[in-house]
Amino acid sequence: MKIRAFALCLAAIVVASVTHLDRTPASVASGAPAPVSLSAEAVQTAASAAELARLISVFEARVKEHTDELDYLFLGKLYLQRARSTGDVGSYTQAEAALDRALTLYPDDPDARASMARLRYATHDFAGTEQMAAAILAADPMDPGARAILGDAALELGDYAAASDRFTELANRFPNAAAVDARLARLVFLRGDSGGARELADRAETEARAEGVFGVDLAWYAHLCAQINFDRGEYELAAAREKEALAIAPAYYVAEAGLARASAAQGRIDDAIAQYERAVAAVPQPEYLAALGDLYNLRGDTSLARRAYDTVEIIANLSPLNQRLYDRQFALFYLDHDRDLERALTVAEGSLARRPDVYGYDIYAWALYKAGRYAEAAAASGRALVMGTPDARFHYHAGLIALALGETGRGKAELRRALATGPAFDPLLAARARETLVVLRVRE
Amino acid sequence: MRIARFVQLGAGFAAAAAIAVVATAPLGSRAADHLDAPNLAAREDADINDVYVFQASAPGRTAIAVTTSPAAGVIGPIDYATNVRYKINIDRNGDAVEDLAYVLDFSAPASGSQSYTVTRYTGANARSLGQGVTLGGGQRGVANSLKGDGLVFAGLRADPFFFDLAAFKHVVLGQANGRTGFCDQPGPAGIDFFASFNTNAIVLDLPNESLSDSGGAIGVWATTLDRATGTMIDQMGRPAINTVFNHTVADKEAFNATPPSQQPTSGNFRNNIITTLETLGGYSPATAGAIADILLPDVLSYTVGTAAAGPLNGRAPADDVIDVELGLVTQGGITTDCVGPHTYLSTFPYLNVPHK
Repeated sequence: MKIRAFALCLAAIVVASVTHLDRTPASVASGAPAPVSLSAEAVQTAASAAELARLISVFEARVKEHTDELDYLFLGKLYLQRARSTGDVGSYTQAEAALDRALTLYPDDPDARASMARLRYATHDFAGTEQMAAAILAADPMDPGARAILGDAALELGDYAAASDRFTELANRFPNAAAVDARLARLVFLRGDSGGARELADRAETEARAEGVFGVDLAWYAHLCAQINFDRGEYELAAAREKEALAIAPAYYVAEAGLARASAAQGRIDDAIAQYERAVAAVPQPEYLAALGDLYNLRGDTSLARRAYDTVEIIANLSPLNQRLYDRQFALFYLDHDRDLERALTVAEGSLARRPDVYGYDIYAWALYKAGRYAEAAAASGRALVMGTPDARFHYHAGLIALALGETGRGKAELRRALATGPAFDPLLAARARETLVVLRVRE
Repeated sequence: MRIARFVQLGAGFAAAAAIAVVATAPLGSRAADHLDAPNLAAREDADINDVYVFQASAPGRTAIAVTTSPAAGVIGPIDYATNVRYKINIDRNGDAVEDLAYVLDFSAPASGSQSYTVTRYTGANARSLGQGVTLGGGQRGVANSLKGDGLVFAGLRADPFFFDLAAFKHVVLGQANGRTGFCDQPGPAGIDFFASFNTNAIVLDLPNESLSDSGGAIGVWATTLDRATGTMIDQMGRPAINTVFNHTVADKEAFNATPPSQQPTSGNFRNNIITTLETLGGYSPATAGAIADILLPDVLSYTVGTAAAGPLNGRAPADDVIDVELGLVTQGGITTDCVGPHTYLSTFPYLNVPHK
């Protein structure tokens, strides 16, 4: 039975790669072992990964044999899909080269422009995204893909009204569509309604399954639900949803890291460490490394912690693309670990300038706080909280800033709000919030 | 509708309604990176690529093939949908309304495979899908036998389609994509965009008597239906009709949603065909009208028991329907895209094993 053999062979490859990621002897915790049998969805995911790799080889060979815009375009899309599913940043560079060739051969191709817009968005070039979208819309003002990505870019740039307009328009044109409801989930969360966000995300996942979405794309929807659960302090639900994502796509590093975060929030430090180690082995993202370092410290593995932190520094300096993609992660790492605060402030400033959304204001506020510029920090923090985004970290920062300004009442309220929203929102900072409140109580 | 998917505008793989996506970090993460919502799914597992009907390898038998899920594994999934019914429609009395139907229903995938059943409906039941006869079924990927001396296969195959899509986009759709025409390459061959894809294929091999009495003419087309509501998701008869003749997204979508029997008289379809034939082929309005009356309703018309000659008498996998259609549309001005058939199997299931 050819196809069954093929699928099982792929299953074996996936299982082997997952177990290979357990590098350290300490990772024998319950969350660590690789699945022995794969879900049907995971079999499909593995087959897709293999087919993606095969088609990339095919199209790389084709563009050497002949020159055709369609081949470059399709190759670009394949590279983008690889970047999406594996987190390999180099695939973005390859995608750009292929799409550049396509656009050289056919400058007005709306399809190539759309893929290029996606690439720009993925690499945080939001101005570039808007430019590409505008070019598409000049020829076809109603192109749904272009209008959607304008909404996506607007969201990242903090223009929530424009994002809302685009997403509402999308929802009217394509009711009950998973990709639309996922976007709405994000928007309503940012606007302060985490319960509504959770409902929309749940719905989006159901819709995605019914739409035949598969592979990492489907796992993404489960992961989106998990993220909202986490932000709501629903750590068991978050862990369950990340496990669901991993059941669909066992090598999905984003879900692995999400699971690690939820495990840490539940106090399962060994599990969290094993899970972050797996995520980091797949994609050494600064955020994961920083979290790993924090957890190593909690467990008393100070030299492992130092190594993890040092790796963050190395990655920070690796390439301009890395710096742009992970700028906020780097800034937060420096700020939360009191390292190179001046650099952190510069990075935070630059990041906010490029992306004046609520997260940009929050990180800038935190950098200003660490620099002792409390009044400015308060102003920035206020802009982060302007829509009431229920992010525990926003409130934590606001609390400490208020305390620094002598606003004890406000400070306590914000810290309490942080802990009410996310009782374990960060392995180190939630504890610090509690300690601060205890100290304040003692002083009264 | 195969070619439309690759030709229409869109950000991701899935064309028409594609919405931009990318993938990095999650919502609400500490770094608060951005959303990467996936593309609007175009239900690729219900997307029909091509329909074939041709003489089977054994005498007195006919093969019907329907390919779905373009670039299976990457654009569409390898798994068949469980909330979709895959339907082969056959008209035996010339009114372009199905009076015979074979429907495949798939179970949830398990252990790297998937099981399915084949049900045969006749008469009014072919429309309503009320009462049918279960012929059998089995696992994906292997030949299974059916009551009534039939054979069925459903699973991954090498995509049989062959076509220089990029040249077509330049010549017929007027896109300035760097191609200068069909057969514009240094060598004799064009560029076959579909050389290396896999696709899902449903293949039936049936005694002629199952399909018609005594060498009759039939019309064949495929539809995919939403299981819960019965609404049609995709539809396909002859190759490329929608792409070549309907030029707006609205018309393409309307065509896909219009049952064949209504196609000659609804919307702009007949006029679109006439206009295209006049423009690209210099036909007189009367001749263009006559051709339109052959092309609509959009079903694969086939005389059972004869050798297929696609697209006007059935369609065998190796038939160069593009060459025929180019010649027809341009009134002999362009007769080939310089792209020839792939290799196929001489026996059931006729479509070749998947590319590895």
